Amino acid sequence: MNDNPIVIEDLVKYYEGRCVLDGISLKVPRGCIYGLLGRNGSGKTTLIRILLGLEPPTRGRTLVLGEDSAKLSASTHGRVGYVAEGHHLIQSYKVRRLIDLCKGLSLHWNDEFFGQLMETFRLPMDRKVKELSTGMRAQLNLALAMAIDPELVILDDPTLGLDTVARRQFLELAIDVIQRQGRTILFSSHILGDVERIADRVGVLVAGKLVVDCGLDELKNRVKRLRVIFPERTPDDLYLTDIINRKTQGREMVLTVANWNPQKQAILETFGPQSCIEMPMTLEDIFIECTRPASAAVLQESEV
Amino acid sequence: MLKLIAREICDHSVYFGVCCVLSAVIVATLICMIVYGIVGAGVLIACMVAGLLFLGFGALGVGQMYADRANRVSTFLSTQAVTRNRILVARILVGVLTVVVTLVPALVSGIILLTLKKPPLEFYSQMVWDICAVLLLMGLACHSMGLLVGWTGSKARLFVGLLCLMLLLPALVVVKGFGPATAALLALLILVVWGRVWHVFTSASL
Repeated sequence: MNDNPIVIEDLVKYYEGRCVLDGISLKVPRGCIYGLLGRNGSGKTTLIRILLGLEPPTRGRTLVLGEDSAKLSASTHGRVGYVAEGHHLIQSYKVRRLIDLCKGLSLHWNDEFFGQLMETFRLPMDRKVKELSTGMRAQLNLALAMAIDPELVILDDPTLGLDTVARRQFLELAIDVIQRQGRTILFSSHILGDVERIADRVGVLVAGKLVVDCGLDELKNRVKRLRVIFPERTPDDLYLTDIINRKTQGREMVLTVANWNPQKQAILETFGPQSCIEMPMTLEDIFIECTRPASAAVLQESEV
Repeated sequence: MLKLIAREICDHSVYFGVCCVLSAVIVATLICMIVYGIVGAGVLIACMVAGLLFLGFGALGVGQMYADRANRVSTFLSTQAVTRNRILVARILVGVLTVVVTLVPALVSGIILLTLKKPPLEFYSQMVWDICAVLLLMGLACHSMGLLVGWTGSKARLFVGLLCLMLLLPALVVVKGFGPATAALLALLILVVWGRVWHVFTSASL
């Protein structure tokens, strides 16, 4: 058994001369639900495609269940469930035929569980995959990925293109399936509410760099937004390490700081603020702060 | 592996069917030649249909790769419990199977015809076997080159590739004739093309 089903070491990927992934190193421990966040084009899908051996890396290496992604054996492939962005599947196949194919190719097929999922989804078996709605394709993809009882599940923006109701249904089912089995999950999304609901560890990709890699609670504890009011005007020379963002208006200053600790608080107090109030931050707020171009460097240096 | 082979056959059953029909036409023509002794027209028809049959083998290879790339079939299959090597081996085996199943009956008919018309030459039997070997290898070469040119997203490249395929192989036989040297060259060509297809397919982004 592998302690880290996913290991990424100094991964670099250039695509048509453009750096898409820039020195990513990451370990996903067994049983962890890892939320990979990033804006469109930040490199999430490329990272996942390299993990699955669909794309060669330019430099560095990735290990999936202890095997190099570039040389994944059939047996390792058979232990990984993958729900792809856009749910391509094989469009020209009928649902029944696609299921038969996947069943025939699998190393292990949980008929009972798959039957339960199909009963829940009520997918039309005689329709071609391309005739299904995006929501139905997402459900079919999830059912096929889960039927093999995978040790590792990789979900690449699985709710992309789904309406609110379908997205909620999909996530509820995914959460149910995931929690029931206690698997390792890598879940990429740019819908932060989804990640916040299911992830226990998050990574944030900004322009190909992994600027955040920590537990979700830890991230919320370490990144703070403070509303500081000074008696007269805000000091020009206020300096704290790891300031991600700073907004000043009259006597008021709103600071977003990474790695907030008592030392930093003590330094701030030397500037004699009238009041210092911590403002609550959602994952979305943190994400927006993290993905600012200026903050990416701060976060990387401070190793959040 | 059997599932992958079955999938390849089902997905490309049209090509397989067309090749079977063309092979049946050749066999029928050869039987007519034996029974009714219509040699001139029979040879012409058999040669023309054989040309189409070889084109059919090339088209099968092209269809397997082009449809795969266009519909991202291997992208999906690669996320199942299979490797790219197995996908490619299944594809090649289906090509070999098609060539053998469709060419062997036509070749057997041809051998019977040639044996009946056996001229008093010592090396005649050897010549018949050389012709059969070259034709079988030509069928495999057509399929393998189809696999190679089919792995493209550009229809222009596909067309040019097929044109080259149509010109190269007959030209080789016209220049070298049906002999062991041609068979060796074709065998070498097939190995090189398979190697190239393997390299392209296993290193490509899916």
